[in-house]
Amino acid sequence: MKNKILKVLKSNIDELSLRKSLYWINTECLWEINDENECWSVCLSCDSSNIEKEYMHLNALVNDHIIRYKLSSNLQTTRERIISNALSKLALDE
Amino acid sequence: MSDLTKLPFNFRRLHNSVIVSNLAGQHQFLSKEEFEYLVESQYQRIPQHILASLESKNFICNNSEVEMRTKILTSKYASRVYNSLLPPSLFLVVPTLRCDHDCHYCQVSRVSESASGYDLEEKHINDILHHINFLSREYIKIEFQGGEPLLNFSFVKKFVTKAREVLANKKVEFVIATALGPIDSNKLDWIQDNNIQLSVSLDGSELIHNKNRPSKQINSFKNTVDTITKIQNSYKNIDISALSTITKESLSAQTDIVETYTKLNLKELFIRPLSPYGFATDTWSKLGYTADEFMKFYEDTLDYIVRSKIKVVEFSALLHLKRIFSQSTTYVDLKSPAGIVFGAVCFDYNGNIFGSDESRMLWATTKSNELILGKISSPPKETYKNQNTLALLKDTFIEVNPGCSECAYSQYCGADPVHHLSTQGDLVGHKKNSFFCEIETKMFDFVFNKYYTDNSYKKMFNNWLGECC
Repeated sequence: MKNKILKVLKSNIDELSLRKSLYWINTECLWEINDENECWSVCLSCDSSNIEKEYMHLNALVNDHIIRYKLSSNLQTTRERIISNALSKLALDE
Repeated sequence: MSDLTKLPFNFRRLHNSVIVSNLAGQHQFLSKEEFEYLVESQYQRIPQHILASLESKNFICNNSEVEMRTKILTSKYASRVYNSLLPPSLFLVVPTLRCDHDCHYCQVSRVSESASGYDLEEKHINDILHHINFLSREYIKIEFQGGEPLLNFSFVKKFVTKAREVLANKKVEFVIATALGPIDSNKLDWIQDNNIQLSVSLDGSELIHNKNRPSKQINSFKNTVDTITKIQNSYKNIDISALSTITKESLSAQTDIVETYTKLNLKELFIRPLSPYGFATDTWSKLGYTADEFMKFYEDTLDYIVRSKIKVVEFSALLHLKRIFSQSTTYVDLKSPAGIVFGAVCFDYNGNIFGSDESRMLWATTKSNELILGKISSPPKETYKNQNTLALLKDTFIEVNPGCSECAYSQYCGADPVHHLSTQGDLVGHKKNSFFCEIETKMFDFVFNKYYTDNSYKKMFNNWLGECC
């Protein structure tokens, strides 16, 4: 097993979004999130032959979840309202 | 431009592009740069026609329109969910579990042709029709599944005759899913006279088909090809369609399937991966493959079709295209909430009712009674609102499922709880480890990418949508 550490500014992503990124990491890898003042520190542990590939994958996942976090900070409430209103409408129609 | 604001959307990166989609089921194909400009609200840098498209599809709007646009999205989303909750139109009836084939990947765990106690008794016909009448609206497809339904042909005949009386005010199609083993001219005469469609399995070349679908009594490939030819020559009113199940053997022979189909003048091809049910769970290590291996085969096959300009429609791609472009909810696998009961209802040979064909397949090996919705002999009113149905359906809104809620394909994909129950032991499943999720994501990647980056594919896909919608 080999370790690599990814650090992300907390101002860019919250813990839930970070965990959503880690959902897609190969399940043969282990990971741990540490809270370090202004950063999240993710320690990724994988077989040494896969660590670079999985680390790049993690980087890509986190970068996309930073975008999702940024978008959802403005839009999540609207999205939830749409789903909730739509389902209420269907329940009333029934 | 400064007045513009974004509405909620999901995104997924393809090679050099990004697909964005929203709750209305609308999508936009963007370059990486256009996507960055959208995220950063640099709308002035997005080409005008793309900006107009994003606005018309409710990805962006003027600040003053947010309330109104939100109401439009709510209404469109409600309408999409409503369409998924319409009563089922597909009913599967299993006249027998007996079969004359010994397919290695048999998903229903068939029994031998001579086994006793595996036929659906004719006394159940009225009760089944009572259920179908109760559940259905105007259009109904009744599909006889097996085992080999033709081994209990007297049941099929009596069922069809009675169904035409009981369901006289509805539009009913009948399909027999058959391996064509026990067919003869008398049966074909009746099938033609009664306007019954046939759905047959044809897995490719003789070598591959007979390896996948051996029979102790016949050369299955030769019998299938000869019977299809006989039907095409002498029974022109019988509508016959074929599907191919892909095993590891098939992967190195992608042109074989298309060539076999074109030689037989079959215009429709349905390529489907193995499903993890029945005997296929035991033989997976021998017959199975990774999603990447399947998709390499699938893409090579479609490349062959598009480059050689062969006139054949591949139904797996078509079903995904219909889900994207016409928001069709007819394909049971691609439904949210899941297609349990709302997609299909299955009446098994033993009197059990299941909410999908996959449920009865999984029950056959696990005997998990939670999969049974009720008994054919029970009154329909008391059958479909029970705890088992609710348990199977309650976590299948993929908009809120882990791994799906942020996926750009969540508006087109499905939950398939029975697949995840079979492979992971829970109804939601971890999508990172889900063969279903991997295959479907790659299918949507493929379809979107080809549609928007390859004009030959776009033309072919549009033709399929035009011909078959």
